[in-house]
Amino acid sequence: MAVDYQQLVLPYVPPARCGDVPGTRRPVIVVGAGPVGLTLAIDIARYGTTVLLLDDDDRLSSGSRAICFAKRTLEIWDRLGCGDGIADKGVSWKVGKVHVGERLVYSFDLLPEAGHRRPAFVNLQQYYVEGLLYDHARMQPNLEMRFKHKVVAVDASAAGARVTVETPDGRYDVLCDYVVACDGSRSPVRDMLGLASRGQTFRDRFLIADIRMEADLPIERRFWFDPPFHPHGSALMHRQPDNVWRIDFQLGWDADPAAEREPERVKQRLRRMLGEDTQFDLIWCSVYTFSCVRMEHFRHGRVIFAGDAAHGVSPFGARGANSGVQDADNLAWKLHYVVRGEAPDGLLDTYASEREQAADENIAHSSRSADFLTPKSEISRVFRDAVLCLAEAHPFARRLVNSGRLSTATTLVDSPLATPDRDSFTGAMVPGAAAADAPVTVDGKRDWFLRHVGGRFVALRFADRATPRTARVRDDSAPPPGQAFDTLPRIDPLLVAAPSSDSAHDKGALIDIDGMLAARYDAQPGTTYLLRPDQHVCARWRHYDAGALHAAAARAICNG
Amino acid sequence: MTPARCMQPRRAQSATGDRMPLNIEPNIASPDEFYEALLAAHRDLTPDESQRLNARLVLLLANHVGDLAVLRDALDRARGSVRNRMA
Repeated sequence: MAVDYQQLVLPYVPPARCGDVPGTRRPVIVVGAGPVGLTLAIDIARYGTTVLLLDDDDRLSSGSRAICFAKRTLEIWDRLGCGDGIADKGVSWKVGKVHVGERLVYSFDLLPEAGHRRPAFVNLQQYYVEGLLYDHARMQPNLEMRFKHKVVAVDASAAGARVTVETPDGRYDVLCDYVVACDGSRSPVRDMLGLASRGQTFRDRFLIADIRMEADLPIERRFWFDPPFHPHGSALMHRQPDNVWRIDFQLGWDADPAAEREPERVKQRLRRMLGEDTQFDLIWCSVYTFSCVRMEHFRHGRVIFAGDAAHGVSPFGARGANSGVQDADNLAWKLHYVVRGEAPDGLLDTYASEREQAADENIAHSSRSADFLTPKSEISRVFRDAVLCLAEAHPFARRLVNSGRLSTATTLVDSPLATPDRDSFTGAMVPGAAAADAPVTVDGKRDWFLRHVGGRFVALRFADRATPRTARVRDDSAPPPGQAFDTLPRIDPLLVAAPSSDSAHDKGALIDIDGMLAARYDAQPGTTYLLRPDQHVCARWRHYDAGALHAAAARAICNG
Repeated sequence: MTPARCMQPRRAQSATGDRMPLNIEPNIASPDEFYEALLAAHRDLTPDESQRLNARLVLLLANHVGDLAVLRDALDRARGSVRNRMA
């Protein structure tokens, strides 16, 4: 019997029964149990650092809300051990179709190549994602969750942070080293600190409706400009599990949100789109506007912001929840290394700089989409309409049609943790990139590359004749002069061998069965990559060089 | 006589030695024929229709040029000749 996550009431434990020992200082408190807070808390706990997750509510997401979860997000959840449940429940898709009027003008494939474990996207209601993350969070011994424990004050100084929590049974304080606010676009913690998220709000309104309907339609993202069933506006249709469909109508700025939410009016719009005879049930609807905003700084001393609390975008690129999960992916290992004393506090500044840059990229994409969907001036509309008009007969114009540029993994260009290339490489796996997946075999069994990296630093070595039978990294060389081992993170070696090579029989070696790993990493025998715990590329070389590897690893934890 | 609405873009004036990627030397073999064709394309159109034609023309030609640096240079010059920007 499947759990009805929409009805699930999460357990409330009164403060007196939480077992807090007065004066105890916790390493990390995460505020907000949405997709970002849950991901972050699970990730931190799995590294081995205890974490307390506080949420003011005892219910999961109301309504489907975020529904498009990107390949990179699924890969992050794979690393945490909960990707299968989410990917299996979700509806996979990769093709988007754009219609102008009644004509299909443009079709795009977000993952045109084979050899990836995860699809470009799965669609899944946010409450399922939160429910499946919650089920996984409950199994983490280092993670404690408290629901209906609302953070009402945060008093942070150089010495530490004191968080005041309000419950139905009174208030209490907890001390900690770091607070991470994952408490959403209206972040109460942000307000408590007197901080703001700034940017532009777009003067447009959108109706979002979820319906249940039996329909034999292809599983694609379908977008319309000026369709006959909704003239002068745009519309978007997405499939979710359980025969649920998400439909989004652009209403314009002058629309009356209260009137547009009236179920009869919503159903009338839907009947125009789907046909008078189509049977459907309206199960959720909402009218929204959107902004492209971000906080100037994601880190304020001991208080760190992630997800919608730190940045906000339009929904058309699926860049909200997906970028928030990438925030969590970036932050968890850094918090772990810092609270364990294995990296300086400055490593947390790189969370802010890397993810602020990612937010800028997401906001740029989102703002461009918004400018196309909601032209801000007469001339902007003239050019938009010119693009749409040219698109049918002119291939170049199809590339200008912008119905949302969908979320992909952010490459952390200019990251202070990455070591710039010294050797010559081509391809996408530049320092700062999120590691690409590829099929491999291990001990004769089919497997995926990404299952073998992440959660720790990995030295990925493509075998050559000089590779020792067991590709040790730490033990086969002295540390560079003046560099003590305790300033280095632990690095686990990982050997990749071509099916025909001598190393193919080494225990634990990954066999690059289809050659895709070498192709995607532009690898030759001897090529070595250093990968971060969040699977981003730190550095790469044409030949294994222990000194260079150690220097790059030290740099990757701000000890360089 | 310089028409009142035409301003010399400041950047172009001061750009001695600064190589602009946009070709501003004569490049059309029959300039008068081009000009005639341009006006002919707009014949009988309302100002609104002309604006729509111009938008399509810009997009078609921009794609033909392709190089973003050239396009940016053209945009800067065109804007500069409408509104002289402060250096």
